[in-house]
Amino acid sequence: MLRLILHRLLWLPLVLLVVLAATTWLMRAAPGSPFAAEKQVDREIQEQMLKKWGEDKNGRQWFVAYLKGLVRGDLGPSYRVQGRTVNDLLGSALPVSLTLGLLALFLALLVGVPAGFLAGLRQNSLWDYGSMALALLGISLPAFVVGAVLVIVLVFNWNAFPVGGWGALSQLPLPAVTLAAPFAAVIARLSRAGVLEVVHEDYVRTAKAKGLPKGEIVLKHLIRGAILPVVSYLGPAAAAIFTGSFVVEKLFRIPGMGMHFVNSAINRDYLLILGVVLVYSTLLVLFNLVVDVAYGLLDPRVRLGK
Amino acid sequence: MTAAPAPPPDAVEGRSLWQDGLRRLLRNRAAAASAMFLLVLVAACVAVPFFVDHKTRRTAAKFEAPGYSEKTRMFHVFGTDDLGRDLFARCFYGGRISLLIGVVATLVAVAIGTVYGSLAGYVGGWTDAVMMRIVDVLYGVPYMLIVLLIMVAVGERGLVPIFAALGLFQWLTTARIVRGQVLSFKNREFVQAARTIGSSGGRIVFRHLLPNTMGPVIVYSTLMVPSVILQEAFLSYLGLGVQEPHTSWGLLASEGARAINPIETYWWLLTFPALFLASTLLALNFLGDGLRDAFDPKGRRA
Repeated sequence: MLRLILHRLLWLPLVLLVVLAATTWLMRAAPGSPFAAEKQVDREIQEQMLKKWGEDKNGRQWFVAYLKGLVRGDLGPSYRVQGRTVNDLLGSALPVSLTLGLLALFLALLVGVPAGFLAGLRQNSLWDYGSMALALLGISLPAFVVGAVLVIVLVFNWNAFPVGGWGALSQLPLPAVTLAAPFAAVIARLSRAGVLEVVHEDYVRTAKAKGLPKGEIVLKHLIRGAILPVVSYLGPAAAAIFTGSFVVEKLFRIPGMGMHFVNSAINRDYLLILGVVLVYSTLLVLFNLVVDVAYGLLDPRVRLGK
Repeated sequence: MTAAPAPPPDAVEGRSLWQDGLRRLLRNRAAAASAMFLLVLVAACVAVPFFVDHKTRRTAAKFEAPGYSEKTRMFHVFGTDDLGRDLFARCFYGGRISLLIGVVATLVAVAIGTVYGSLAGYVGGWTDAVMMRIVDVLYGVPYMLIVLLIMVAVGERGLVPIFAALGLFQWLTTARIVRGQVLSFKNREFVQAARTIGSSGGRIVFRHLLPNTMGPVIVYSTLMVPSVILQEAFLSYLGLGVQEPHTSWGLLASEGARAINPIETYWWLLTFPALFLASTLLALNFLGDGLRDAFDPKGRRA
């Protein structure tokens, strides 16, 4: 186990390097230039940037210059947001997105897992159909519709919550629910499938034959196997949820990562793009590692790291 | 669920895997109803825009609520939008484009993924290893970021860039599925038989291997169409998707979401497009789930 963790952490820089290189290649291969857009960058800044992060350099020199900065922990300046560095921008957005994401992830699990388990344990019951239809609806509605409906009902009609913003506790629930909805839906579907997968396994039948109470069977025997599909989904899901959602952030005026994610691409703010990708891939690799470790702990049949 | 009635003893007849799956699919009421619904919807989206007018702007009749409008002296089932256009007509016109984008982008992605995956799986060895590592790396790059970069780079936007942006980078999972299937089939007897009678590699892949991979691919594609439609909705929300005067459900719904303000809720602008979007995606997801249950041997019920 320890070897697996160490092994993966040693590989992390290489994985990041390759992903960053691929992103650099893709964004530079796309036609156009960050300085060609109609939004003009200050001339002096532009020249300064061109010298250090210049378009005139070829891709490899450019990438090496970036890596040199990266080793020192310097992600470079933003092309678009004047006078701010990428460290600056991500440093203030990341804590916001992590807080909101943690809450949303918790919510999604709290709703999704029990709903999916109940649906799976009572397959083809009214409860099963109801919760699965609701889950499909959660996947089928764009976030801007879910968020807009919440705003109309809870903010405009009932005045139960403030319109948006960041910093007060009362501003948390609506964006967290909007962010959590599609994830809760997927989690519910996965845990239902997980339950159906293990419910006919021999070890569950043995537990039944021993005469264990139903609750104990579910909590002690069934849950370990049934939760596995959810656990493996949590790796990519956590990376996505912690890097925020543009729609949620725009709707509720939250200064999070999702904004940078979209705006960096729209503005072709190269260094900000790489910064965002760096955060996303790091989270992805780390959470996938956590998932693999959890897998080994949950399922005795899985043996990790030789 | 009651078991299907046993066939009469004189009607013993061989059934292929596909017929078997189709029977199971039709027995699944949600999936069968979804398929019907989708057929009707597609027909309506193709036909309705020919008969109702989705273009005329009536500046005097902006934001008319659903029902009879005194100003236009016409009946607007879904009301009118910010330019006085009939929302009912625009919903069906938008459906054309949403469905078109969903299907075409999915086809692009599935085609690339199938070719890539079968090549990797069939050739094997180093080629396979390198090709699949490339897939792994691309998985690490946030997909939407690439789509946005393309949409921004293209600038002037018709439908083709949207097909390309959404389709060209979504083949990764298809490639993995196809490769897995090809790997599991390529050493079977029927492939060896084909090889011994001198079939070329291309013939083996296209005539013998690919037909066997199509089951999971079709299931996955059905589930990909709704996610592509949602991605288009997100692009439209950013103003990078379908452009006026064309429209899509995503664009209509995002315009509806934008029209919200505390004083006046033009609820119909959000409700109707969202209803179309959600019911279509719901049906596609039900159908995809039904297909998976019907064609996945593991899910077979007694």
